[in-house]
Formats: sequence, C-alpha cells, structure tokens
Amino acid sequence: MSLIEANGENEVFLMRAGIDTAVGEYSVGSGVIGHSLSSVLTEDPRREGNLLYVTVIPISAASEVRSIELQSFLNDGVLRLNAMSLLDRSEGMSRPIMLDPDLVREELNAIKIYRFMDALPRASLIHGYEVVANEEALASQLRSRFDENIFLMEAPDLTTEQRSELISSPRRTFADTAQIIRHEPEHVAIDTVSATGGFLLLTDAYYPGWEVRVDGRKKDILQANGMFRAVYVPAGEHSVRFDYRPQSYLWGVRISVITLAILIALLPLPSVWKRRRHLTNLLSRT
Amino acid sequence: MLNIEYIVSDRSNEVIAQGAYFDLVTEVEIRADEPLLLDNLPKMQADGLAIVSYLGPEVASLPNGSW
Repeated sequence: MSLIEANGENEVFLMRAGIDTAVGEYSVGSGVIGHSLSSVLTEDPRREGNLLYVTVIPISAASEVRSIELQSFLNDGVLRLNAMSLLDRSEGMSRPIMLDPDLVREELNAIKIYRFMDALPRASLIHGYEVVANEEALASQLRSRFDENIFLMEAPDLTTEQRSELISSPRRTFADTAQIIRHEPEHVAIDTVSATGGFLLLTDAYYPGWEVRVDGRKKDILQANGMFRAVYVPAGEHSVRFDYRPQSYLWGVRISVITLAILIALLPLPSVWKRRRHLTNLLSRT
Repeated sequence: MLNIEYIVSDRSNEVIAQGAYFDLVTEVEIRADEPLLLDNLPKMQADGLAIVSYLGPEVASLPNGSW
C-alpha cells in the first residue's frame, strides 16, 4: 500500500497476515491456518462466522494524504477491505474513506448522505446495447457500466444500417446532448442532438401506458436495464415526447362517451311516451 | 443499475475501534492484478491510517508476517 501526501512524500506500507489481517472465517475455516488470529474488530454483519480485523498504520509525518494505492502481492486469493479511515490521533479525529471512488459521503447530524458520482443524468444518449435473454441474465450485469451499454429485454427494431452505425460509433460521446424541456408526471419532452444514431435512455420507470413519439412519429418504447425507458433516435436533432396514455384510461373515456351519447339519445323518450299516452287518451275518448 | 444518485441513511453500519471511526457500507476485493487507487479522500491532517479487512480462505496457509 502506498500513500501520496500533500507534501509530495510517498510512504509504502505492507499489510501482513496474522498481524494486520487474517483469514475471515478463522474459527470455522477448513484446513490448516498458517497465521495467527489478528486483532478482531467484530463479526462481519453480512457473513455469519466471518471476522473483520482492524489495524492502524502510522504515518511518519502528519500531513494531508492525497491518494492511496493498494496493491495485492497474493499469488492466489484476495484481500477484502471493509473500511478505511484517516486518523489524526493528536486531535482525536477520524474520518472514514469511501472505498468506492465514485461514492461521496456527507454527514448531516444523525443522517448520512451518499452520492454516486457516476450516476447517469435523467436523460442521456447511449450508442451500445446488448439483448439479454431473461431477468437472471440481466442481474448478472449488475456491475456493468450503464453509461456505455444499455441492456434490452427484446431486440430493437433496427435496420441493417442503423445496427452497423451503432457498432461503429463510440458508446457515448460528450458531443451528444439530451435536454429535458418538460418533465411532468404524465408528459416528458426531450430534445436530442447527436452525430450518430443511438438510444435515448430516460431513467424513469418503464411502465405500460407510456407512449413515445420521435419528431411526432410513434415509436416503440424499449425496456432498458430492466426498468427504464429507451427509444432509438437517429443522428441529428430530434424532438422526443413521452406521454402517459394507459389503455384503461382510454377505455374509460370511450365507455363514458358512449354512455353519455346513449343518455342524450334517451333523453326525449319520457316526453315521447307522455305525448303518445296523451294521444291514446284523446283517441279513446272520441 | 438503478441509476441511484443519492442514498440517505441513518447511522447504521458504523463502528468505532482503536480510535477510528469506520463506515462499513462498502467492500472491495484487492487482487494481485487489480490495484485500487483512492484519491477522493477526506481533507484533513492525518498521522495514521486505520484499515478493516480480512483475507479470503484460499490464503489460509500463509505463515505469520507474510505479505
């Protein structure tokens, strides 16, 4: 492990088996354990019978640490890091380090806020795609970079030219823009600009009843990454509109209109019946 | 996968040990061919680095002090 400090110093430390760390399943491990039990912090809440170990490595001159690089020298097997924390022992201060470089942690009294810096914008253009056979296959892609590929449950309806353009173009370019013009519960308007064709990914829930129009033409909404909406947009400037028009609502409107029409048609009936009865009475008197 | 940007959490998965305050929400595996670079560190003067870790069962035969 090497630390690079603000003053340009570079310090290297070695973590040793049996001193700084040890096998997690020490008490239940099978076979011969060649090293001692290291100082135990606690049982791992996520794995029954697994132990976590804590070690404190002194930094020779107190300074601001800019970066830490961790390298394993194990020929086989892994070192699992659960947490790291910088210490200022003279001040009694300690602050945790996030082990995911894309995760930022903030504290606000009794709560913590984690921010994923690699989260995609609500609308983005992506040029790579893969079709997955089922939800299990999709789950296996959980750690994939979704800013490069979208995963579709069904093959998109594309021409040969569109497919070859997607294969040859970069997965994602900063020249692409997908600007949300309006975002309402039942209507989303997005303007896109791209040099090559790609998929507009809207990270709103895929749900039956949504329709999409690209430049006024109705297109199929694709179920992307299991739960989001996507639509293919060709190169150039385009206007994409998502509207929520569920069939249940449309059928409700149709039934209401038909019912209203029938009621209007039946409205004169009582007076017709009344007039007919009156005429019948007159005729019977004569 | 779910494209979550923010998570608000209570103070669960936290522990204080040997004078260090740990947040156990993440775990990473360090393999021989995959070094990990952390450069998004808290801005503070530090005179120590505290680490919570464990080794996989496949290296159980390592003798004391090996690295």
